[in-house]
Amino acid sequence: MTVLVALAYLVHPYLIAPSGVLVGSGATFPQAQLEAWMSSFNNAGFPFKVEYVGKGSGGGQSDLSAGVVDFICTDPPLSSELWARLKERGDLVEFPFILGAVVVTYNLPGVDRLRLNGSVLAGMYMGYIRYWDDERILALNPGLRGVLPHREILLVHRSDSSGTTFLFTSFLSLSSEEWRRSVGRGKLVRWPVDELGRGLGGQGNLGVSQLVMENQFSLGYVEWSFALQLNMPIAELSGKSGDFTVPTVEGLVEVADSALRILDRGPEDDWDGDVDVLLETAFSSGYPLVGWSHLVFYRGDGRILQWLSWIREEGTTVPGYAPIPDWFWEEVLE
Amino acid sequence: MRDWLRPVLASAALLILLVLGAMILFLTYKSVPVLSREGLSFILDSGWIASEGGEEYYGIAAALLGTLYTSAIAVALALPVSVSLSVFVVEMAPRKIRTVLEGAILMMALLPTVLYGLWGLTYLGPFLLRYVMCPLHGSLGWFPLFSEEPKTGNTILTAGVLLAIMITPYMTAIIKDAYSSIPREYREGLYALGTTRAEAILVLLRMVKSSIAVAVVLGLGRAAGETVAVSMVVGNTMGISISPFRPGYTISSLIANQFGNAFLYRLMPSALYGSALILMGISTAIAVLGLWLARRWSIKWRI
Amino acid sequence: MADMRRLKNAVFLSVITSLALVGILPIAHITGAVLYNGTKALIHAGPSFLWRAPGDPSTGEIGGIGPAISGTIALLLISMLIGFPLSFLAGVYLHEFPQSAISRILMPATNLLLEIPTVVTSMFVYLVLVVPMGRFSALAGGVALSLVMLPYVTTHVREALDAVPVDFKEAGYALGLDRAKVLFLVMLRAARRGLITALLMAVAKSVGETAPLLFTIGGSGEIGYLGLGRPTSSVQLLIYRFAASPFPARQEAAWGASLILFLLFIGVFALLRKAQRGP
Repeated sequence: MTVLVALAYLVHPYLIAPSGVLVGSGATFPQAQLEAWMSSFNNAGFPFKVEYVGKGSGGGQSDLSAGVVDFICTDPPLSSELWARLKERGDLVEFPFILGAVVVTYNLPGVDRLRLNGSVLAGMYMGYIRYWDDERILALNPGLRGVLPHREILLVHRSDSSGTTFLFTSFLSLSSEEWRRSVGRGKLVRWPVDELGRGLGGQGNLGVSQLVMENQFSLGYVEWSFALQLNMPIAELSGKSGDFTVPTVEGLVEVADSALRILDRGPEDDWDGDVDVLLETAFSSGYPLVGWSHLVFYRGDGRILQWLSWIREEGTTVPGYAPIPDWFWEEVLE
Repeated sequence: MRDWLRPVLASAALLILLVLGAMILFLTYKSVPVLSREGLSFILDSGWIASEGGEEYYGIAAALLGTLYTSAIAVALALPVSVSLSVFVVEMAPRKIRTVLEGAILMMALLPTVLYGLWGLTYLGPFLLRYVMCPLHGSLGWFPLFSEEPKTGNTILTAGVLLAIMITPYMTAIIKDAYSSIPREYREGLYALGTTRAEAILVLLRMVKSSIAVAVVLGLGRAAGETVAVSMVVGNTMGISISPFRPGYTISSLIANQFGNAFLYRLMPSALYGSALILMGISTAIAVLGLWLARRWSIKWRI
Repeated sequence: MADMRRLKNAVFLSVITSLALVGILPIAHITGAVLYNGTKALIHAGPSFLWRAPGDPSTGEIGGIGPAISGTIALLLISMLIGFPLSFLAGVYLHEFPQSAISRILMPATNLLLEIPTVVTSMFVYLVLVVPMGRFSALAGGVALSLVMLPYVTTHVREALDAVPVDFKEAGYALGLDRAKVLFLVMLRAARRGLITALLMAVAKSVGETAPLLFTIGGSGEIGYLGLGRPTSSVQLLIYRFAASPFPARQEAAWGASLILFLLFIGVFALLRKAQRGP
């Protein structure tokens, strides 16, 4: 009897109208945006639901390689090698679909304005800038002398393979020759501070945000929206010009617009290297840590296109992101 | 006709053996690339260098040491507690309390591990940071173990204490069974000699020291394999240090963090299967040792 | 001298007592924390916590864990349907043919299986089920859980049957019954209590483990059980993921979910205690 009930339960999804699932995974960079879209889309009466597991860009690419999901999001595009390999399996498409920014956030009671640049951040994550009241930090923040405590800095970073890390370490490499040589950039790097016992690893943007919020005197990097939604302080950063700024929606769109024009690529193309163009454009114009996330999937599943059209028409952009320029969307949806 | 049952039963038994065999084979097979490329330095070196297309290098020394360190802390803390708990339950607790305690111990053994993790993250970590690590660093900071300035609750120590809590019921079950099965006559004989209760208990404990050894060994094995609760509190960073106040990694939490993105890289799946093989090797070696001891001294227990 | 001994005795006994208390304290605190935080979350979220999907965390809305509950039930059933019969039969085999070649390997093998870290089981199932099927799935999760429960059930079944007095079996054979009849008509009935323990142990393992689900079921909490071959969510994994979220709404949902998991566990546990201790 019990067994029959059990079997009935296990069979029931096959009996009632089977609602399909469009399964995606990958970057946590666009996760807040995707969750908002999914939340409305899944209640809008479509014959299928969308499910997204944020596990890092690397996790998404790993799932796509293993062939266990319908679509993935990844901040750095597939490498040329992976793109070529996966393209052989079917009609693969890839394009940036949402803009965002990486921000540096921190947990310092009483400090609501902090200025940092790439070389100081590199020094912190290398470990030789050890205390909050280091002269190199004070040089950028003369007003904070006596306010910044003589406490060790706890540096939070991602423990999974992450596009946010890729953007952040690319920025550090652009700003610091020493960082470029000794650590370099990647979705997963060897953090010098870990070996000094002053690093802390978190899973996803969520994990990093939580660790920064819970640990006093810590600093970490997350996608802009997480800092906004959680009311976390955002450090002002400077690029080539030396002006300190925080990200703005207009700024992001402007940077993306010129980067897309320089790149001149479409969904059928290999996007490898596009982050460099985007970052260099941002680095020389305003807020230096601009990023975007790519959507990657095999064409042929009509559901994805249906979902994309819905996003284009009804999806609203969550604070902390900026929409991809309209003309590019139009090109894509063709 | 008579024995149609045997083949049915035997095939179930064989199926289990096959699955186990397949598991071992798969793990070994999948570990070959990393082991043949890196050899011993895979476990002697530390570093987790992932790169698509470029040079990859994986050394799990930090995680391996983290596993051993957290397990050692766990057993060191759990041992006196489980011995005391066993003695208290058998020797000192009134009947009613004994039943309650036995229930609580079984409950601890079976409690969903993720609940331990959530609790460790929310309560244990902050508690240890504030009331254990900071005071120890403040008063005994010259001692190398405590010299690190505590900065977070997610540390090797927190993982070790959480593991100690999780393995206490297992170790208690083994010690308690042995302790309670000492024949009455011994106890009465001891009291007849005029010993105090404490002296009697110490003599009786000496009689079950083999069980205590088995409990230590099996507790160590449990602690080494635990994943979910540990990865929630250990801090997940690669570094080698004797300071228990630092964040660290264990092999199982390394797997929990990295397996999701492993297939993006050429060698990382192999490195993780290799780590799993080594983790399994450790647990198995410990378990075999424990079971061998148990058999030699004919110790029995449940759970 | 005698005073010294008495003092030592008193000190020793109080050390034992306080260490025993320390040992029991965490479970009391965990229980309290789960009940307190969980109830608070449930009151905040309302009864729809049990059937709604998780809310949008940025709005502070808790929503619910309905999909995860439906997934956990399905995973429990799948793992029981696969794992219990298999390990039951193996346990019977170990009891009936303890001297056979298979038993001699299987006996230590179950002990070995018991010691395999459950995260390794998850990696194995990922390789043999998830990748070939091209999907994270409820089936993969169920198989991983059933692998975890195998050694516990096998051992308990064997012990339960071994504990039945040998007279029962001999009486059965004396009546001219064959092995199967003796087993089903006599032995299983006599060993009923132990078998129920084995069954409940399997359930406790199935709801207690999270690591086997890490790389097998794939769901994040949005989708419930939608069929064997589809991804699903589970309460355990949802707690693991939501606990690491900075959003208060997610943390509350994690505590609410742990209360649900705890109540489910306590139900099974109470039955298990009852079965162990007799009427």
